[in-house]
Amino acid sequence: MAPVQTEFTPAAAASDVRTPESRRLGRPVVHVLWLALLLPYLLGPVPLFKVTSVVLLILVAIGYNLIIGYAGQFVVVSAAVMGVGAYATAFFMGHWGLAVLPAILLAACLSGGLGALTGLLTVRLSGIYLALMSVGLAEAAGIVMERWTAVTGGENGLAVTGISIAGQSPPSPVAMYTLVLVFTALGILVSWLLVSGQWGRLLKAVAHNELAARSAGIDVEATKRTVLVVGFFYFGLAGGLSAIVNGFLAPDDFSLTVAINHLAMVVIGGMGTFIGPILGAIVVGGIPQLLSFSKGYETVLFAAAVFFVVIFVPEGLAAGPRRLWRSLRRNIALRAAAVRGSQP
Amino acid sequence: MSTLLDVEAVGVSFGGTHALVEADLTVLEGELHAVIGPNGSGKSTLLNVISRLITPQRGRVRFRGQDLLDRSSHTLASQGVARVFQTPVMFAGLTAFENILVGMQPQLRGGFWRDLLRLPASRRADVKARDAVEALAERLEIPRQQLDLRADALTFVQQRRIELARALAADPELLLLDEPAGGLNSAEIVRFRELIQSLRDDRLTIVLVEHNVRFVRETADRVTVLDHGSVLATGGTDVFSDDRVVSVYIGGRGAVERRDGDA
Repeated sequence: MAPVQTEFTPAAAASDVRTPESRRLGRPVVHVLWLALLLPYLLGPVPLFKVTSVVLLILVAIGYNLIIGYAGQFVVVSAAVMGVGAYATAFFMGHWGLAVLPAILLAACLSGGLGALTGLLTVRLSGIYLALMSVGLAEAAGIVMERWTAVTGGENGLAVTGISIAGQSPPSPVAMYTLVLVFTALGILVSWLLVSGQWGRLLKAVAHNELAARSAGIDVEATKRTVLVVGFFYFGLAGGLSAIVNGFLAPDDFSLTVAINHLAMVVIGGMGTFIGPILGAIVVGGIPQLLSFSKGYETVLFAAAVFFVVIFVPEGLAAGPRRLWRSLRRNIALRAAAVRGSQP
Repeated sequence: MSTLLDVEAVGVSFGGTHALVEADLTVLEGELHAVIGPNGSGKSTLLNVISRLITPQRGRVRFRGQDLLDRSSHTLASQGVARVFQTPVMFAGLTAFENILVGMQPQLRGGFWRDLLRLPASRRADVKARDAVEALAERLEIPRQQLDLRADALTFVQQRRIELARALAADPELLLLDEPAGGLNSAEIVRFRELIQSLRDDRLTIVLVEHNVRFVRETADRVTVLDHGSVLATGGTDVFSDDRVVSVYIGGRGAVERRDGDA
């Protein structure tokens, strides 16, 4: 390869070329982006629509990865915050007459603001208390979505009106795919800049040991608040995009079950790695689409996949095939030995 | 020499237990000051008070004449106070190199906007920080290839050096060391002692909490002996011949030597 080309990879854009992940990944990520640009020419409208909803999930997975994978703050709010982003986008377009782009961005900022508020509420909490608090907040958001019928349409759902992209109304699947792809690519780039620099290191330090992080000069509370704002922004952005893509919103789309599915993307992909959530979103989001012929069974298969990853390859997909294979063999051997009642 | 750190009549109690009662500590600029005492005498509590991890109910802590108790713990690093823990704390998932870079936070001031925007000035600062980490690793005799390994996979002794490097990365004036000889074998203790003394010779002020008497006698310039949360004696290393100090160590010279042996 010509050396010039490396100038344009995210790896070269980041100062931290020392971590093995950045060395391995810069180029593959760029190739995947090229492939993503070709997809509209390869796929028909229905498959493209499915791909669009999978690509959108990458933003959710990145948000979770920053908050949980890097900063170690266990919150289960993705679906609820997506709901806020989605209904807010619909509201801004339907009631204020905003165009798609400003509506989505404003909704994402609103979600980020919600992250700041959540941070103020939860700053002294960690571990199981933080997780429970977040479940409470998510449930509360769900109730609001069901009851605040004037804005959300309640159980009957809400048709999003006024969707128009580049003069197309309603927009074609290609236009919606392009919109989602642009936001997702930007989201990936931003997450790369964030996690490959000092901020990413600070997040991991805070996740691992708050006292030692403080001693090293890190403002732990401010760091936790900021990561919630950033993560919630990603969730809100994904929610806003989902409002445009689906054109119809119902509270069920933003339930706790959905949030747990989102969590599985990050776990299967590999928490605390840059590439993990992207792979996880594609695999976890994509497999149910492929399995939709086996209606009902996909949930079972999906649960089995989560079990398998957590038990046998806890590093997640981000570890790469060779390390996954090694980890799988080691973990099977360990468990076989444990079952036999001996130490390996 | 002027006073760098002045701890005055500090009292800390947890529930009904008095961890520190009217404890005083005066550390002069450029000295290696050991705080010694049996388990439960309040040594670590005193260190936690100075590094602002514990807020005392009474007393004052002044660093360069400024009240430290007004400040929150994360600002101490940029004030010039660094801390090394009793058991090395490595930030898991980061390499040794990155662990030391985290210690550069007071200079780097990394944060959301800075890392998002990557302005030329901050990128230059990153490059400088990387060079500084390499220089520091060389100074502490950390092998180059160790720096790229995950810090939590290193041995205890290696982690201790990485943690020291992380503390020194902020370019502190005062270094707080909590039992640096703990868990080391005798050869490692000698190397670590030489390292600590060479840092002191470079004008770094060090407060050392330790219960290994021999280590302290051979390393420190001055010693403060704590017992039951208050100061028993303070002075040069000759405090160890003080009868009261000897009696604290279970009543006799023989007991002192046994303690040396098991550390």
